[in-house]
Amino acid sequence: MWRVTGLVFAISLAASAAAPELTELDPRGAQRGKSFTLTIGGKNLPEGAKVLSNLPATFTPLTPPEEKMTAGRKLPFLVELKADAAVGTYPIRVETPDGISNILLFAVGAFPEVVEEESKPESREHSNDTIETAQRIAAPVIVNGTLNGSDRDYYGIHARQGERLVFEVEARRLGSAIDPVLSIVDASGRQIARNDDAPALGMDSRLAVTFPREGEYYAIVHDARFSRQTQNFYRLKVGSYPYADGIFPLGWKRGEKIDVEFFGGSFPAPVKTSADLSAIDPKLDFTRLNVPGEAGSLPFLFVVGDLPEKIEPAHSAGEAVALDPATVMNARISKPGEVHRYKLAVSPGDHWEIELGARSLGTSRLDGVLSIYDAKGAKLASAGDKPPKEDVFSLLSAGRTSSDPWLDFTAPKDAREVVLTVEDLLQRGGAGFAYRLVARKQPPDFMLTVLEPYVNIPAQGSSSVNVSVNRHSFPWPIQLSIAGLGDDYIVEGGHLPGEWKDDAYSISRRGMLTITAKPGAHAMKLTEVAIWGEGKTGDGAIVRRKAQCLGMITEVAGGTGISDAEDRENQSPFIAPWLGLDLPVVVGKEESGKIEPDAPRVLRLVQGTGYSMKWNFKGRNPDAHPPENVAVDVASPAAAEIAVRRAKTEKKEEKYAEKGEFSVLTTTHSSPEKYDMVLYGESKDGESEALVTPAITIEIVQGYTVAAPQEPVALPAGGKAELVGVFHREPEFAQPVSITAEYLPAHVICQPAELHAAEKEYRLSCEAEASAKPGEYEFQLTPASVVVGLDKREVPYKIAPVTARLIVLETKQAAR
Amino acid sequence: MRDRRWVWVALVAAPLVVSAQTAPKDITGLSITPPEVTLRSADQGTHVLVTGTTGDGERIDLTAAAHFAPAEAPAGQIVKLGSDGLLYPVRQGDTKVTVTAGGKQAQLVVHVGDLSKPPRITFIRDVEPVLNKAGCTSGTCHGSAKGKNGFKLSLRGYDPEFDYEALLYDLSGRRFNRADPARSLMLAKPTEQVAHGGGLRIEPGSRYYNMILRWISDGVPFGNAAADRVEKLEVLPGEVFMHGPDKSQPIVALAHYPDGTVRDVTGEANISSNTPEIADVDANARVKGVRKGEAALLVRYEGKFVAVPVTVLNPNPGFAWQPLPQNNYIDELIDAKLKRLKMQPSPVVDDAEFLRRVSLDLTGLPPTPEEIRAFVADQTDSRAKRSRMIDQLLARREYVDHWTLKWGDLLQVSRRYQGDKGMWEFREWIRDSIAQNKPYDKFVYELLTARGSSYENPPANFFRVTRSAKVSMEKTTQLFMGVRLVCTQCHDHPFEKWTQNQYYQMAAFFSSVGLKPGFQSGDEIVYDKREDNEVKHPKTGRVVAPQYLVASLGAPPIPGNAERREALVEWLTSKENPFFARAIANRMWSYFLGRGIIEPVDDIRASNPPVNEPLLEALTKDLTDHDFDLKYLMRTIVNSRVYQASIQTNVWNGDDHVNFSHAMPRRLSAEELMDGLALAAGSRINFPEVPPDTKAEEFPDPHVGRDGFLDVFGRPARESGCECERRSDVSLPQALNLVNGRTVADAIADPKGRVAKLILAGSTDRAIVEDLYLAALNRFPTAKEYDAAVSFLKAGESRAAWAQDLLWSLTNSKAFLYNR
Repeated sequence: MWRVTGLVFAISLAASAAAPELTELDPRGAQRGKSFTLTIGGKNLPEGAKVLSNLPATFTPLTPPEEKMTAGRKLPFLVELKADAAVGTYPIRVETPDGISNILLFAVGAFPEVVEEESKPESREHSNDTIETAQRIAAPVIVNGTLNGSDRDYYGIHARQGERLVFEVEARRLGSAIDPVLSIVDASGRQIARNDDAPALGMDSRLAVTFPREGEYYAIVHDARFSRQTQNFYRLKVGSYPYADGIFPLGWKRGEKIDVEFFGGSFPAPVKTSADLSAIDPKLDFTRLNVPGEAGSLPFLFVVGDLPEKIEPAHSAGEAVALDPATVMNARISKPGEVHRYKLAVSPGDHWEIELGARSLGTSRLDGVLSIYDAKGAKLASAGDKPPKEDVFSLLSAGRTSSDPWLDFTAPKDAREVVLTVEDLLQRGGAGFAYRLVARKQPPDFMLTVLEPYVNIPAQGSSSVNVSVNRHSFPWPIQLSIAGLGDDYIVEGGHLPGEWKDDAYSISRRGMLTITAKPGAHAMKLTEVAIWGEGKTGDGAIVRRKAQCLGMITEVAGGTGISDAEDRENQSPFIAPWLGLDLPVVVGKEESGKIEPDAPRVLRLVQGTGYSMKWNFKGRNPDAHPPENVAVDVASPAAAEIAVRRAKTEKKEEKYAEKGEFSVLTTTHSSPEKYDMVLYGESKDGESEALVTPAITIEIVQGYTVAAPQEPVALPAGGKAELVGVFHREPEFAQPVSITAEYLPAHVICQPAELHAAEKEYRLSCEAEASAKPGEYEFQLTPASVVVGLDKREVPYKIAPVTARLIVLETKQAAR
Repeated sequence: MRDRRWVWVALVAAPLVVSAQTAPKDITGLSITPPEVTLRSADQGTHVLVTGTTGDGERIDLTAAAHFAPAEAPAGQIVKLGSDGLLYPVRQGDTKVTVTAGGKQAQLVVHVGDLSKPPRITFIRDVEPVLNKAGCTSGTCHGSAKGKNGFKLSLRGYDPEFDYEALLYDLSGRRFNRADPARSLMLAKPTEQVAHGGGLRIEPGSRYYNMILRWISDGVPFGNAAADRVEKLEVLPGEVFMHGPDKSQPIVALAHYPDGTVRDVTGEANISSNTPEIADVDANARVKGVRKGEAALLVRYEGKFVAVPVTVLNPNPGFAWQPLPQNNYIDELIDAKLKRLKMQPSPVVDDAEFLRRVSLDLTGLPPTPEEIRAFVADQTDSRAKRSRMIDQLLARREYVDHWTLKWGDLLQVSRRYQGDKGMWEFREWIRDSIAQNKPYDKFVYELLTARGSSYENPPANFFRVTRSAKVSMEKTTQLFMGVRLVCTQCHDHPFEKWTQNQYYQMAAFFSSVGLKPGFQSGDEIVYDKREDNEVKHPKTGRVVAPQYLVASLGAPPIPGNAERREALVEWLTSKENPFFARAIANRMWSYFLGRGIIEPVDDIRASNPPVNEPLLEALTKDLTDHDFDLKYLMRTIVNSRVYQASIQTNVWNGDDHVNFSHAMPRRLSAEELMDGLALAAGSRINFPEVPPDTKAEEFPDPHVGRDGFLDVFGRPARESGCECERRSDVSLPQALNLVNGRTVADAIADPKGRVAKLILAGSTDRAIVEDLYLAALNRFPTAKEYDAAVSFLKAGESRAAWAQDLLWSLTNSKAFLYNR
């Protein structure tokens, strides 16, 4: 089941200096069957750039205006859109010799299109912000407009008495950062209707208005936060067209056909239509379903899965329905207060992953609560009925949003059957409260999300790829890898260290790997690669998962920047995983130079020690300028584990960072795991160029280990014996180690041992008084040492004591 | 209903006692209060009040001048008059005491019980009151949160069980010497026989000393928690009416117990005045008039409270009531009070002044010059056209904006709590509610029972501010009942009947409210928690079941956890709830008259009685009779003559600040000032956070234009729901801002502003002057002002510059800065 919950965004180091970047499409959409001029705006857009899109159209380059060409920021195309182009959204990106760009979405509509006058370059700000200055429109129409901060756009329309018109704003669904609010007022300014978030439209708005009398009316569009956004466009659609408030079911199995019900909106009664999923691309987790009837609405997203699917069977109220393992149950809470119950056959000790898909799938209104009860009705676990723990919650997403509930559940002893319940947190219900429930018997699981929507690898250089892991109850280390790259490329890093701090909830962390093009590597055409993660559970089971790719990302700025102490105003970005893309990778232009650190690719550090890492910039040619700043990015940044401090930077021409030094520091309590780090350079002559080093893996190790003797030491009462065990020391650890025996039985003493550089075993002389009581005892070997940090100071360093065994023998036994 | 009935009874039904230092000669009757007393213990005396009735029906206190003559009995006197003025029993029997005063006589019936068997002294009935009286349980002494010097008692003795245990068991019981009670630490400390940080609290050998000694000797009995608690406190007289300052009246406090006994506890009761500058009370429970006006005495004893209204009349002769028009019942009820107080109300203002006042009060904006000209020129009967104008103002969009701002303050609409989108949605919901004139009870119901996404169901944002059961309850009671319960979180209310238990019982109604992040960034979902959803009492650690603060009609049975809020709000918004309608009626009144009938409006308690109970009662009834239609209530208030009264005073009402005998000038709020300034200057002050041409009163929260003009002039930061957060004071920064600040200067010099337009249009000097006066002061200039201003304009080299100066002067005048 698809979802994205764990997005911790990282510094994006995937774009090389000259790679194209799209910021604007003008227009943002077009009426199907019409030809038009599309101007693509952004950076590094040279003439000859190729448009990559599945838009059913031809793109014929036009000569750009000379001044625009100089800046390389505007590329015009003559676009002939096919008459049968389906209403919907289509990704557009460009490819140049220097790489590929990000995606922007283009919309195809069914109505004539106009442009908001105010958004034209020569217009004044706030020129249609009042009834008096409203722009006139006539239905049916789609207006392409923009909003800037406190902008409020007014559109005047004449309506007849009793006329019914649908007003809809398409914004967030098209990748705009605007969260539109739509209202309709009469000529006196009296509000007739208002909508912020409409059913099934996410943050977008829709109103259907039947006008009480003939006259002038005004549609007003503004951003819910009056925020300033880079992607600040919207499309106001006005017309009379069919639309629905929801669909059921929310998804079905790939390769099958299913009847889908559209309900609400302009449909007085639910309407069914058949969805054919027989030819869906295996890579796609979603398809789009059109609203029945005349074209006008954007299609609904519909989940496509690979598991068997069922519709909740008819049953009496309160009856528990059997839930088949690894089968998606499609159902809806149709009445307020309704609780759905499912029987699930289990065996003691089985681990189950139970997931509910609802609101995050796009059109359901269900705030799901998922609970498990034993046969006696005792609650075993629940999710969705409380906020996540605060420390975990803050890691889950930049926007600190909820997700649909899931449960990791191990069947208790004697359990043969459990009951799952599904209900709405607020006890609501209705046609729009649909869900998909699946229970799978499997080891603890994790989910991965690639945080870069695409990667341009500089020729002979490196790019980093960040991956977010959303651990359910999978605390073990995960190794990331990339499938689909040839031998000309080196993949490094990808270590996600174990997380042992909380096993009750998902912990979201970031992993990082780098792709480096070998010298002489063949140029790679646009390739989609898959990123995988693999981990081994405590039981030795291997869990391997493919990372979800986001397709595109639109960053959304907060409102006016005022947020409370919990940073709730941070906004989640817009993402489009439903585009069904793996990670697009190309090799682009060579960078101006390289940052070369003096550290080995795998840097082993004993807990509590550090490394002074020097770096210098090596230009491809003598004129190459170094970057203005060089910094370090450590993935899975755990302040308690590794700290990197800038020691010094030497500048060239007072501006360019030519060489420098970083201190990589660990503590005596840093977890002995592997962490990945890159150095990167930023910003040169006003243009960003991300110079990235291949990943350096920092392997934190324990300074030494002490193994207990395999056999218990036999010590006669009144006698002596020597305790001998294996001692292993890391080559980097030279300090003496003392080993002390503690918690010995009464009347037994062992002399501490002190171990120096070359010793590989420890020996403790032990002696039992005659009064020592015979028997077998456990005691502890407690090692202690010091560690010398980068600052040359000695810090006490202890590792966990080791348990050893001792047998005190009777004297007679000893004599024998 | 029950809780405020006493005030009504006191005002309407209770006998009035007019105090006099000496007995006037025309006393026609004499009465004794109480007429019959019963005494059971030799050391328990009692006060009686002697009241004379004059020929014109006034009642005058004659206690001090009265002569008491106990009847002789064969075995000697049964009672005697003590040097402290109290009657004390001498021996068992029934007798009569002849009281003579003002040339008249009356008889007091006295019963004395078996003095050899005095009632047992108990902690709860006898000792705790002494600890309270001696100050041991005060907040500055052992009643403080941490106690004093290792000894902690409950504040003002609200928890006798706790105090008893503290006395008995702290210090391993060393506070009592059972073998030699007189050497007990409990006596040695307050008598300073050993060092005592609190000094001498009880004189050795005094009545209190002897009583505690006897109690220790008897084995420190606690008493019967039910039978020994005070059932009712009675205070005599029920109302004090003095014919001028320098008069006085003794007060008697009687404690009634469940067994029917009555004890004079005047000496132990705590008696204080809420306005000592009008009526003060001395250590002997004698209230003294200081100056003309009204005050209330609060008499407290062992958790029981009685408030006694005190009126000190104007001593000047010659008052003759001049009737004024009666527009509605408000005028009748205000006039009734004023007539009694000998205050002559001020007449109504002229049309221009009325228009300014009512426009500001209903819409937050002053009228435009065109509106003033039209209104003044309208020859319709003044009352009729005023009424019509009121209806027009109530229908305006600006009315909705103005009241959205007020409710935004009270409900703390702020992106600090609700984030940007939540804040805008919450404001929109309030705005829509006001635009619909949603009945107030429905508005509150939707707010307090809100669940779900704060974006989808905006009233849920209320709980994003409160965030806990306790704060939700505190805010609910303060905002919608005018009752402050904050202090009862830690102890029983010191000046009210509310207990700590009640605090948690009320909080329990909100115990299941939970918050979790929503599906959109910045959203939160308000939901009913299924676990950890009960309130626990901090002392016992036990779950506290919800219970209504007072029993009243319309209170539904309390259901399960998740539906408690609905039950609470049903009780709260019921027409029978004694607080809900009353609190909003009082609050609404305060918005138009500058102060509440009870003030502060969100501190309704027995010790803070209304200045005109019949009026508050009538407004409350009118509101409930009209189904909580706040617009109707506003219309009623602003149509009254009282609302339209002038700020000009007369000889009889000049020093009245509480009885609404004249209007009180009110400084314009920060938003009114900014919008008024923009209107006067014909300018628009824009802020980047809101669309252009957004008026200050349309600002959604205090973030817009933060740290500027609006904050200097007291815009609330919305940190609390208290009316007090909006400051109406006058300060030096404000003065400097008006004189030198950019806001005023830029508005006046706006190139598209009023002055620029007048000059560019070639207006005459006289037209400029008239327009600026109308725009800034909302009235025509007087002939003198015309002349002075025209000569001023002519004197300057640049007519425009001098016109700007004239406008600057007008906007810096009190006439501009105040709603008058």
